[in-house]
Amino acid sequence: MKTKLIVLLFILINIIIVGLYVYKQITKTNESLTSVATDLSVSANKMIDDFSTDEKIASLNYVNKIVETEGVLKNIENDRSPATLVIGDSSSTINLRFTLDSSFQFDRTTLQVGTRLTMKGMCTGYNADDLGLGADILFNRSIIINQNKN
Amino acid sequence: MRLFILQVVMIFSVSISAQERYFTKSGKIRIDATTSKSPEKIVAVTNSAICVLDTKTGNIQFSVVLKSYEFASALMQEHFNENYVESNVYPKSEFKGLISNNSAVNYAKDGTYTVTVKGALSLHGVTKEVESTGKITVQNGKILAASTFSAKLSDYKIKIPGLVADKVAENVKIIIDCSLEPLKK
Repeated sequence: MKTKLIVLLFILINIIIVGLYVYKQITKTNESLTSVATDLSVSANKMIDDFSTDEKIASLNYVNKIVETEGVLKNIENDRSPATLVIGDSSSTINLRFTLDSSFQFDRTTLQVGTRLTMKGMCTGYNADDLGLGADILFNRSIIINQNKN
Repeated sequence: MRLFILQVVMIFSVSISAQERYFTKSGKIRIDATTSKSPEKIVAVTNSAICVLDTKTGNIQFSVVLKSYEFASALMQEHFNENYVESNVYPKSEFKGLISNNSAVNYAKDGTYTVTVKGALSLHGVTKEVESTGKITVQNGKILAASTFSAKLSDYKIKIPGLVADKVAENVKIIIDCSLEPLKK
């Protein structure tokens, strides 16, 4: 009798653990990257080189990863929300486009083209230059880690 | 004098042709697959859609990296990419089409124009002809392109698991909202 109770209790505890895990998975939201660890730290120029050398291998290395990268701000697109920051090199036709997390607060007046930024974002993919607009490496949920005037 | 006139005409021609193409790389597209039986909203948004419009010909193209769609639920986003659109195999969705009543749009004058767009939508390795109405709004040198239409998942070989068949819409609503600027050469 005592053994049966122990087995029953063991099964019940397991059901609760599995149930809690399933509930946690179902209700999991995309967290702000301010509290999520970085998978990779790499310079913007290195990412641009990697994608221009071999898009497939670069995609395997970077897509779905939380990447921290440093580069020069080329453009700020903030006429719509969320804003997008374009990082890159004036000599390259490949840019890094960081769509900011809509909950990320920052002072837009302090951002100027030419500022060196450290950005953190989820790499979602690469848009090759199919339409003659230049290629882009795309990031979502992005935040600004650091900024220095160049 | 003739040379001066010729130069003015050439400069004028170049400035007109430079404004023929409009584009954005931060177009907003929302997809909604919610049904009345869905326990929560099945909605995702991308703010990275590319759109290019040739105002002279009416040619319009969209391109979206599917992993750029964000869902509120991380699990839903995972299922969308891994099980539904298989974005590792088919990373992009594209539309190449034509505004069939392009001549009715006066791109030089601020205003809102109802348009019909026909073209080929490519998703999950399948390309199908689609047609939809939309609105082109010319405003202060920019063009706003908006449209809402539906795409049937099964047309693109996207299977809805039987377990959630009544909770995920068979016809997904696609809402386009793009603000285009002149493409400077």
